[in-house]
Amino acid sequence: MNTIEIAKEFSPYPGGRYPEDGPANGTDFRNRHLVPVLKAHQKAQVLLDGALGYPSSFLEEAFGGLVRAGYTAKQIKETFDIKTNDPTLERFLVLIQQYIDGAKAKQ
Amino acid sequence: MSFFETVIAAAIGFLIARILDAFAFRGRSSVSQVDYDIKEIRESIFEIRTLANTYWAIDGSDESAKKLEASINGRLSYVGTIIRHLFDSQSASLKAVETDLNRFHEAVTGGKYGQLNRTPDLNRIASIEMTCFSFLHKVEKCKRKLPKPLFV
Repeated sequence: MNTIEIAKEFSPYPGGRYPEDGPANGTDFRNRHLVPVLKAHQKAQVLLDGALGYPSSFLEEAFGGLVRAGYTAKQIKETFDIKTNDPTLERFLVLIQQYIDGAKAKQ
Repeated sequence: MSFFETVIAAAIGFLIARILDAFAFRGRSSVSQVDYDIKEIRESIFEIRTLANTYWAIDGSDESAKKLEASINGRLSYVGTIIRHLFDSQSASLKAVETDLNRFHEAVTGGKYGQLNRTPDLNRIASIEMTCFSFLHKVEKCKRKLPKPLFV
């Protein structure tokens, strides 16, 4: 299973929703790292470790945006094993699940 | 029982209580450490509140917006770290406090946070105020549930 380390492979300072908001935005993370895994019908571990923190708008766009792009919450949860070894980042796992489920409710 | 025997019994009782207390609370924060952590949380949250209220009252294209974001993100991370340290041994309290911290986090960094084309959003300031005080109240409530050592 591939591992996507956000801090190492994308940015230790993720933020913003859209490309015009900066280089570490949620749309670019989703399109570069998450969508290709879903398109290839593979599975991947997403590791939150190493980032300073995750603004809600970034997380919502990256993960909630997958639902708006046409993937179901079930597909997303089965494809990605989102983890952290840093206890101070564990609360973001709850937020990500909320954004995936919340975006689903908008459909 | 003679006076001497009573004194000896009391001394042994005190010693046993002290040893049990030290054993039960080893590795945990002292009362002064807990008070320090709570003070740090309170001050940091009020700083975030002030920064966030300023942030959401200006345009996303304002030159100070990105600096405010960096300050807010750093302080939110610091608060999350203290919360983990403080309530690490109390899973129910940790979950309750982190749930309220996430609500505050969502109010501060949700919506159009980080977007250059956003306009001021005063409704979000109301949400920040509400979740800020709710979070601080939850911290105080959970602090009262922390085990207290017999000897300070």
